[in-house]
Amino acid sequence: MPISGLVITFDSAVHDQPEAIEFLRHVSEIEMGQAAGNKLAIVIESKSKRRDQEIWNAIRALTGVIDLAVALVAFDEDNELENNNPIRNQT
Amino acid sequence: MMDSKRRRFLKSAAMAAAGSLVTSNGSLPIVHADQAVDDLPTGDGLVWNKAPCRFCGTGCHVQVGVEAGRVVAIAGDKAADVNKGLLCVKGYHVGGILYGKDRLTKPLLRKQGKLTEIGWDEAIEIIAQRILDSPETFAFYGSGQWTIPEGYAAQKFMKGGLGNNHIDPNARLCMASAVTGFIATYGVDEPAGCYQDLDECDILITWGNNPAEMHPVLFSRVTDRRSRGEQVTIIDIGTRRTRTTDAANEYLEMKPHGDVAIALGIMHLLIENDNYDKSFVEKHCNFRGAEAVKPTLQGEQISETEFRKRIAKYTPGHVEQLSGIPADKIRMLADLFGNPGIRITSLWCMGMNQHTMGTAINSLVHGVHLLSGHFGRPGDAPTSLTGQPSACGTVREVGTLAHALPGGRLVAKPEHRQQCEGYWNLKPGSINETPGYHTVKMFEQFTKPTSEGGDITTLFVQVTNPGQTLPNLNALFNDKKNLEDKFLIVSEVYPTATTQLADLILPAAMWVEKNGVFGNSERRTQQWFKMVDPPGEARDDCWMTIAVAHKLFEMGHEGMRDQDGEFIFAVKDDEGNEIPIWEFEHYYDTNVDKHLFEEYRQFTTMKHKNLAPYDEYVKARGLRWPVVEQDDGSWRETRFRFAAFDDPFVSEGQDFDFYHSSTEDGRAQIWFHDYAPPPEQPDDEFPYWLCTGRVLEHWHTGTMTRRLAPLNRAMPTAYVEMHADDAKAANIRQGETVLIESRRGSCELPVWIDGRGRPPRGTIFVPFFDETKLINRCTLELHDPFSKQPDYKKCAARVVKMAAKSVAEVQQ
Repeated sequence: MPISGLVITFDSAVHDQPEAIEFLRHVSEIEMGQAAGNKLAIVIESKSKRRDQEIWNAIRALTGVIDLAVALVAFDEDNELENNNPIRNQT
Repeated sequence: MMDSKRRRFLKSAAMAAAGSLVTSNGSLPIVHADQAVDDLPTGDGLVWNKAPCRFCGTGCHVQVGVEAGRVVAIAGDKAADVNKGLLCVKGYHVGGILYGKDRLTKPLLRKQGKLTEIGWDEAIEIIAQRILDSPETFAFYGSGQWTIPEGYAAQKFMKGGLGNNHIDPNARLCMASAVTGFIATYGVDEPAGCYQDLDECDILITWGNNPAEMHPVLFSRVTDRRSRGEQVTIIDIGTRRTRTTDAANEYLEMKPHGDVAIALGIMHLLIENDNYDKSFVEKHCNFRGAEAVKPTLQGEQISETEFRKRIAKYTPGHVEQLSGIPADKIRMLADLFGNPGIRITSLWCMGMNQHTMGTAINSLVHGVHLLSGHFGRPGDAPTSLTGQPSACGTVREVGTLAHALPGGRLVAKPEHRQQCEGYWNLKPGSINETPGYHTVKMFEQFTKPTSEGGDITTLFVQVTNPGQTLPNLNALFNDKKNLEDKFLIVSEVYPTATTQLADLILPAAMWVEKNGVFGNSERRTQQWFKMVDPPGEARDDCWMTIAVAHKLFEMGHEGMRDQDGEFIFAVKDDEGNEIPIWEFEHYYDTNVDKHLFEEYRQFTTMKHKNLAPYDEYVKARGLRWPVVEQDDGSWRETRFRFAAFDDPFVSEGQDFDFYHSSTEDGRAQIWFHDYAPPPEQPDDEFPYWLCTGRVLEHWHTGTMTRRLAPLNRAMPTAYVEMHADDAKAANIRQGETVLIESRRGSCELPVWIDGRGRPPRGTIFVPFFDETKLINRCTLELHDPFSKQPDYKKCAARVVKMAAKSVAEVQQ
């Protein structure tokens, strides 16, 4: 169950991005924080790394988003993909 | 699972960390290396400590949160000048690389084809005995992921202890041409500038380079400036469109090898238009060309008149023919370089280095900057990047290359050998004068039968994966499987393509499971402490080297004793008693890294790459060498070398001083190299250019990032990028599996049309991260004559529809 603190950089001031802000407000796992200029701090607390990645991808795809950077991430375990290739299973 | 209290705790920390990065009017914070990080949560047993990221050569610092002996959180380190608190998607997941389910935890010996668990004592004895039986046929292969103390220990063990120079790193495959380019131009390796150039340039030119994916935090320093309203023009010169192209103002799509012609064309126009920087050139530069017979990095002096004569043919029209870049764009580039009022930074990495003219193109791009005077001011710099976290620190500075010694010394020079023997307190003549085998030659000799002259019989591989990264794998690696007298030892963290053929596998500690020191792309030396224990019986690579050395010492190998009869890695306590660091239970009785670093530090002054004492790095988020002690006892780093305003070694009264000039006159060399076509080009049989490279989500061969589910889901398989028209002409659909073939081998891959990268017609691109799809079976081992670095960026290949081949043909 990952927790991540992210910084979204928009192509103009945060208050000029109503559609993106509206999207972020409607994702229950996202908590919005401080905004300054064209940067906005958010925290994602999701149930799985898959969901975390989905949210991450959706934010990156939002109109006006030019960068998404990580400030902090906490994790308890990695649910590594099962992999049956022979290189993994040689030992 | 996290409990709710800790989740709340970490959530507030995440918000605080993100919130602090959006202050300062939206710009990235200005930070200082000794700044405390005081807003991360502590308590409940959670402890934070600094470390450089394990992945690329950028050298971002992270804060690592450890609880109950396990890494549980990663934060960008706001006190780190490199990344100012930010991380890329790989850095974000770096803590998870320790916890893949298939970590190697016990030494494994192959017996009758089957891997069997053995103890460490037996493993060390087997290695030492093989070396003792035939010391001259032993080779050590490492990487730019060796920490500085690990590389230094390996170097001393081989060249000092065994008198054997067959030690080389995988960095030979990624940045050797950058080294030869710097040495040919300035007489000394590594960039003069630093990342501050990215903050201050007006123009950023990426030469065959995709920093948006490969060095994303660095690239964000540029895009962040744009987001603040600053004008930064990005010109992307490449052979395919990438994410960097998406951010570029101008994309110049060149033919493979076209970069050589472009650089020559710019220099031709600077001369022709008489707008080069005459004052800078007259005061600080010589002109140089390759010798007609047996060319060397030294070259021969040529006059400016001769330089003008040689370069005259590289007119915009001719360069257009060679490079495919329109003549007016060559003029545009020359006009930019001819404008002293702007600041231009050139950035490159594998595109210019993995090149059969790698030394030439590196030297030529330096020449463009020197000729135009775009050098030595913040923002005016020719800068190469590295792909590994310590390619600079461990390979280039410690000198873990077959021809080199620490401190920029060379094995071929008697006075250099004597210096090293002096520092190491060895008998005169201990160090062999003959350079060892470079990477391609080392593996040729290992995979060639002994009866046919293959004179490497035992090969020890640490921290790298040659079974996936070597070019022409069928010839240079896979042939080992049929040679019973060849013995491959692999120290690794996970099973890899290399361990598949290993006779002895040693489980290794990684990253914060051990102490370490890295050196990043901007000359920044970075230290960290061990934070968690490695799993099972995994142990430090440095300990393995010392343990083998001591076993040889016990067996009576004279090279493992210094002139006083002491073990060459002897470490003593305050009472003068030797600490048995070759026994793992005593390895951390002292800080072995610190002992090795302080010994190595003596070498660093010889090329003015001075390092500070180890304890200074404990306090800092890295320091850029040369680091020089001040009158008040503090240590000052250097951002810009050779420029009087910042470099303490510039002679008084000079504005610039290339104090390691190969011509010993304080001048840099502006080289002329003629364009030569690539050695293998598409033809009727193999009609495509094949280019290989990396992707954002995976680091190199994916041994770490493929164990991270989010990254693996985002990029689960290698693929071949094709132009839509090429696919249509061949009746190939999106996602269809095809066979990529070259004269050396083949690889099955799904097709990605108009994907993340967009190659032009006639070019295909394949990333090399996927251990199940080894594209290096197809690549070419031909290499640059000076750097010996192979060209992974261009060879001839064909794309075959699977249905068009019989099963028997596919199996061949």
